[in-house]
Amino acid sequence: MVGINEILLFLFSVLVFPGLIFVTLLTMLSEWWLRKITARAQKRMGPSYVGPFGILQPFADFIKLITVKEEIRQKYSTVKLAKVFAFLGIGAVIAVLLLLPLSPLRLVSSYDIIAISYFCCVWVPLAMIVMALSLPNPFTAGGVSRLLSIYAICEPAYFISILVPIALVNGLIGSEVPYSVFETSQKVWILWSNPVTAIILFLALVAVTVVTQSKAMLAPFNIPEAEQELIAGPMTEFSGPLLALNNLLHESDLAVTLLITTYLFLGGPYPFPHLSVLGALVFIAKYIVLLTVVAIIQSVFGRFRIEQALSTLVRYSLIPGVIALVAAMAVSAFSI
Amino acid sequence: MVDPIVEVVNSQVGVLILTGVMVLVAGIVAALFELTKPKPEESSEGEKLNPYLAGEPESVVTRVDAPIDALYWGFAKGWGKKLYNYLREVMHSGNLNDWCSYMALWMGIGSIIALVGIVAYLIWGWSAW
Repeated sequence: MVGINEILLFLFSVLVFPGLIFVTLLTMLSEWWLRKITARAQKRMGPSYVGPFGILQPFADFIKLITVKEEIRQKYSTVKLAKVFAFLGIGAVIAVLLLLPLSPLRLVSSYDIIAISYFCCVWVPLAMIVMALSLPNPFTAGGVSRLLSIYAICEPAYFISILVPIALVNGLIGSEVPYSVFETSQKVWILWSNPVTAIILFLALVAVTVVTQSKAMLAPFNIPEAEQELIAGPMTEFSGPLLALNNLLHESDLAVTLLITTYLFLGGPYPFPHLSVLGALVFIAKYIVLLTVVAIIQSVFGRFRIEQALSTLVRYSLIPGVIALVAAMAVSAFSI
Repeated sequence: MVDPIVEVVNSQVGVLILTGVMVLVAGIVAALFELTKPKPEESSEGEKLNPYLAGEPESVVTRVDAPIDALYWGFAKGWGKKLYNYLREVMHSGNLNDWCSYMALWMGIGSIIALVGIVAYLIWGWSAW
């Protein structure tokens, strides 16, 4: 029998923490950090005017797009379909958070890694692509075609990479619920103390970082929105509130992907508990380091052509991911 | 303070719950979006009705969207053609020996797979699978 406490905890987890409100705040703050670091690397100021150090600039941009800017509806567009998929995409991004130990209500099931892949690698790309194609335009079609080519490599690479820590924890440490994200997040930090498993984890971490960069369409994988050729690629026809929704989906996908990496590869706050000063500091530090790495990669690379982007993805995400997974399986089988 | 609750559920039930959460959040975001919208939606007029084509008129393109079969032709003309050309160069060099070695290579790989399968079956039987 489900009590009132469980229902309230469920609603709190879905709507407040780590649900909608937390993800929105995290997304805006991550966007600010990304823009600030990128700007400083390019000898610019970055966001500076709204709030201290410009920290409220992403909030201001979002509110401006929703409340002030006009939503242009060209004659071929189906804006309502685009919005429905934007809402579903944001829903998918938030749903996976219930699988992480961050949530007060934690869902744990065997092989729930597949659920993460289903929501992050199927629903989010589907939402982005349907949104783009709902407002037909030749530039949009070109951008979506490039985006699909990138997804064809980066999504399998993502699944393979996040499977590595789960396979290692399951094979070497053992878990009550096999292949669960929850148990992996709690135990993966132990594997960094073993040089063999640390190398394997590092290889998978490199793969997942490259994938994160390409999933978020950040440089050098921003060819789908190359402005000189495709104006804004998949986002060419977006404006006003629809652009705000697209930005929210895009940035929240990046924030949640980094949260998943923080837990699955770096062990979140563990060995310290979540509700301790050290735990919170360790967790925030790991997240910021990952976000900063993403920002630095974005700053130092120029845009790759599509074939360069695809071959880089194969070389630095798919192949290291496969090697790490094979090594993880071998190490688990022989229990080094 | 409320302690965290850990719900261990069946995998299928887990995915169903998460799908429900996805739809619930989508509904709430949609409701918030409608509530915060300052003015009723208006249809665009004039030039805004046209798709953005970098200042060019719509007549410069045959169609504004991508046809469904573009996905097939994109693959066939891109990856498929490369693969076909590679295989053609390997198989049809004009030298019969090349063709024989190419076929023997694939037959050899097939034979090895079959041999491994037979040995595995003899050792472990079907039950191991």
